[in-house]
Amino acid sequence: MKTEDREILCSLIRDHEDTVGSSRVTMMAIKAFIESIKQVRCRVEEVRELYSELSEAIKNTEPKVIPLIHLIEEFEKEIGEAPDASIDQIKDQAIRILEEKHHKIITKTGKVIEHGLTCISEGDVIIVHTISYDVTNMLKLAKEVLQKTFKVIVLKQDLAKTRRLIKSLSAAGIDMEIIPEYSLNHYIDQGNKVFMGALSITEDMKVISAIGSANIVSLCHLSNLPVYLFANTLKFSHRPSSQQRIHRKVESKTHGDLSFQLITHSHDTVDLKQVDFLITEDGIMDKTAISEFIKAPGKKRDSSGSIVV
Amino acid sequence: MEGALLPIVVFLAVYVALTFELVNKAVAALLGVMILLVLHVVSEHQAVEFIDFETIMLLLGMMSIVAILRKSGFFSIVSVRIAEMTQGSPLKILILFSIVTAVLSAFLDNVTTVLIIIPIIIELTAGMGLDPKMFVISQAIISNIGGTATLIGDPPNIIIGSKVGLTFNQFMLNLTLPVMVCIAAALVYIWATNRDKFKPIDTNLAKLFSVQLLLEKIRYHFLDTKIDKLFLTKGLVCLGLAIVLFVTQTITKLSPGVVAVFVAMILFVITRIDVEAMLEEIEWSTLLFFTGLFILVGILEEKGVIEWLAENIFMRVGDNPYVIVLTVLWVSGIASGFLDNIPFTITMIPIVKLMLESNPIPNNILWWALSLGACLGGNLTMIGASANIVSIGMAKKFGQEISFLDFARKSVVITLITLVIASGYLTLYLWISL
Repeated sequence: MKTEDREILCSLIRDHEDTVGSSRVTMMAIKAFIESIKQVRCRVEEVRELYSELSEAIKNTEPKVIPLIHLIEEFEKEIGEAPDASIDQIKDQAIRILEEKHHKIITKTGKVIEHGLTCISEGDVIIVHTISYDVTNMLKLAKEVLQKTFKVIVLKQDLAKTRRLIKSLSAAGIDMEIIPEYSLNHYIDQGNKVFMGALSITEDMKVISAIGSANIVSLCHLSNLPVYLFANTLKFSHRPSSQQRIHRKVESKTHGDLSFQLITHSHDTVDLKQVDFLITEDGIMDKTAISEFIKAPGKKRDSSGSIVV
Repeated sequence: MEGALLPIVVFLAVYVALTFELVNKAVAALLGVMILLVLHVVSEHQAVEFIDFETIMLLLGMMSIVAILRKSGFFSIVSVRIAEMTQGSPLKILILFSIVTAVLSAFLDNVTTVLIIIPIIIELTAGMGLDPKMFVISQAIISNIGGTATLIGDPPNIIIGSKVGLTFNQFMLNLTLPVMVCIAAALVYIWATNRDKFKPIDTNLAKLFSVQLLLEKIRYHFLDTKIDKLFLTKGLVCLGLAIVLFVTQTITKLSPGVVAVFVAMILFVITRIDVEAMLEEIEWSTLLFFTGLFILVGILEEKGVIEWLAENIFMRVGDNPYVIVLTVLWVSGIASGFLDNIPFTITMIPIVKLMLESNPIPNNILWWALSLGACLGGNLTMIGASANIVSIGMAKKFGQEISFLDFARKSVVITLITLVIASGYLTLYLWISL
């Protein structure tokens, strides 16, 4: 694969993850993999090499999208070798496996939302920073289907990201207030919980989350505001946070007579200890359960390597 | 030409201000009018008589219809579906988007068309690692060619149609064929000079994967408005009604301006849209610009300046109809490349009328020459048409700088090719008609 193609793929996954969250980007990437397998024209001896080349590229994006990596690793294991198979048979098998993976992430995400809905109570004032597409949908469900009355304080950051959230919440008729993320201090007394999403939870118990969330979680933690983290278990990484490959971008900026280099990172690292409730497809873990989970010497893993809660 | 010096000086000053964008277009034209009013060159009652309200009504009506259709999300759906149909093939991107651009610009104004098409084409091509500049330039060029096909497609045609009384069908019947040939020729030229950029991608799994992911991203970003199907249906039915009324103009005896405003008012009522908000979408400055220019050219006409220009410049070419037609075509084509084609067309209409009085040319061929020249010539340079300027401005917003030379490298040859095609068409048409 050409370096240029690899960079395009990497930036597409990163941009998408930034806007919709890692679970949704995983679903999209698997669907894209299926469609590209359907369309590709190649010889039977080339097909496996093409799959493995693409899988490698997907596994080495910056940052690493952990749920996607887990599912691609499962795909690689299951696709195996079938020397006598025709190109169509290999393609069909690959598509079938990937469809199963797609279903798996949908099911897990659905269950997280199901449990998450129980975390929203009447009269809540929920502070949100960068929540994923799925957590946004959860808020919409709580309002539209469960008819719950609550308010959301949206911390505005990059308008491209916040715009969609505001539009979605507004379309669902959710009462909301939009404030700059740096103004949270003035609203901390109004909120009674904070919702956040994650790209991954690493082996050293760090939450890799949207940029800006470290400050917000710290402030809320200091103010004893409970922090709810929504993450399915495919987001549990078996690598430390140092290997998460958080993207670092250096841009040249000029403002009037001032020229400088601006360095930004794609994600923040938050200590899992600052999270009060962890919502996975298996249920809701409170602070005690999380701390026991952190202290546990060896974590149980499933076949894909993700940690079993 | 008694008392003509002051109007000529004011008109030239306005033209300079427009060409070099010294002030807002509407302000330039209306300031020129006001100077002539203050100096009692013309009275306000006379000035109002020079305004062609038919053109203003057509523009106002079409701007209102387009504003409501844009609100319906229709254009986003169309452009996303086209992006999906291309499946990332560079050649399909060029051809399919060009077809959509040509069709849209034939029925909507060119600026609206590029505002719809350019963001999605940049997102798609840049996301695939292709060079978006070539695609942006190609769509600006195609929008100008496509707009030539109908009475409502391009401002010069709206002006010619309204001031001369040519119908929607006459434009379609006489200009669609050369426009289609010009579009095909432009696409072949773009493909032939950039063949390495149009390689198929269906053997590259990674590229196919990126395209699929990119299409997801495009769907996510461009279809983020909840589509109100009833609103959309009302908008499309009314657009269809407007087109039917344009086509049946000879039967209904309704002028295009009346049709456009009538349909726009129906849309305002049946969609129950926030009229105040929609009225903000109307390009009032363009309408005021047209109003000012009509008055300025009307004054020049009244003072005998236009007649002098026609007799001393255009009629000097002799009485050979082929030479007259080709002169109007090429002069319009080259002038429109450097000057705004709206004031140029408004200035040329009385000149062409005078030329026709002394040398009658059948089947309105001289008007088609003016239309083809003024519209196709807009492609010659980056400043030749509003669609070019808007496309380049949008590309810049998306981080793609297109210089005057970048544009000219593609546009000059295409403009010459299309003007040669138009010359061939008009010569043949004239030969058959004589």
